[in-house]
Amino acid sequence: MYIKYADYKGKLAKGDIILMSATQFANGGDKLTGIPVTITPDGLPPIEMDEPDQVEPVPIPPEPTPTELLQAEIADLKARLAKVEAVPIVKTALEPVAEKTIT
Amino acid sequence: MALSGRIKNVLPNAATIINGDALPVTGGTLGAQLSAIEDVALSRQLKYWNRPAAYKIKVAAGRFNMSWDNQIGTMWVFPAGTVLYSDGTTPIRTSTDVKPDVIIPAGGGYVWLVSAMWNGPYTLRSYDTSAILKSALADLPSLTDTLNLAGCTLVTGALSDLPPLTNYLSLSGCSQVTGDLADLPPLTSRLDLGDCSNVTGALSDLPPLTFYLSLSNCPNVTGALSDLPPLAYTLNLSGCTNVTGALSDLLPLTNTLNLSNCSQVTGAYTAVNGSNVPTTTILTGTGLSSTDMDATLIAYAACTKTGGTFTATGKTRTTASDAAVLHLTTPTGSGGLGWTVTGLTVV
Repeated sequence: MYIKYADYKGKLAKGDIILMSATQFANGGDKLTGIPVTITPDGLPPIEMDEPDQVEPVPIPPEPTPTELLQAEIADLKARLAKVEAVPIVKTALEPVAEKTIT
Repeated sequence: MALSGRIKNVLPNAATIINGDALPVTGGTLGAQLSAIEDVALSRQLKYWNRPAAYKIKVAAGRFNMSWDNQIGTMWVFPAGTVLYSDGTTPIRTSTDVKPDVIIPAGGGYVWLVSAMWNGPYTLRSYDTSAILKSALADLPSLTDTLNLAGCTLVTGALSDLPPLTNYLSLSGCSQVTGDLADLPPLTSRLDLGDCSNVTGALSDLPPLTFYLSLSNCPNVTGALSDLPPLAYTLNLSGCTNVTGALSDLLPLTNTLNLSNCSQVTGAYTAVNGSNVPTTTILTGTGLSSTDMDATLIAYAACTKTGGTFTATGKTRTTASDAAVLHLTTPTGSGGLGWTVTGLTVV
């Protein structure tokens, strides 16, 4: 709980925090030691915020045209084909296997 | 019957030549080798290609207004008895909207989302569907950009079940999700696993994020701040009580630095300059000394950003940072930076 600096009588309950403005801080408030202090520009309680979720929007690329989608798909297919072609080609020398004669 | 002289077997049971080099392998070995090559080269892709072609979404009764922003070939199919949210009475079975807004009837069911293309710069987001989404992460199609299921407390699965997202993932509040940070997809921008308290792993296993990271209330996460990827916007490790390290290992952040209750984090955060300083800083419950706090406040006061907040309730500073605190908190109209500095005790 915030206790205004002007109302502070020298005692604070557990969990209490002195609240002062920057002007009050400059005019004697900085002499307070041993007690927690909150300083705001205007002396008003700070606005408590939950976890800030205001993420700046990340630029999203423009919607691809059907042509671009097709080109992307072709590029993808080419890349996949290249992977397949990168697999070593196996050439096998054929050797006849002589079969035993069954009599 | 005489088979003498007949070629019975032409399998490569003798010399086999691969790319011109003699390399004797048997037919069976050859098959295994090819299979191994494929496995190594394509294992990750195969894992992702094997994902569902459509998203079969298990839902309870209630409001459903999930969005999928690729409109090409998109179709939502709802269970019988679904009505429009706008009037609560008009029946609806299918929709091609980006974000249909409907009410799933009592008993729930399955919503099907069909799309012509899952990969690309598209986003799947739960919005007000969070409370009824009972889907598993393994049910997701092969999304490659953004997934936001924030607040979907009924969603289950492990991080290893996720599709190959590369941009942004939020499972904030998905408290049933499990898994290790090492199993995350290759995200490059944003990750929010806030309140995913079952998630484990080390900070060094994070993907190469550059923008935003929140692991708030993931107490099983370990590692040091020096293990983090190079973030530029937000770092929230609030409640990651096992995280260690020094603030000097952080790069300048521009939005949020929240290390609340990271009691093993120490040092001063002085890598700030100009407007490259967090607008919101929370160092309550950290291990910073009075000297660390002084150095941090002095560095902040040397920046130019206005209107920020600096909270370190229960922490201490000395009079060495008095001038910095005064400059920070003085209104901008009076030449200061208009910040709020909360909870510090001068010792």
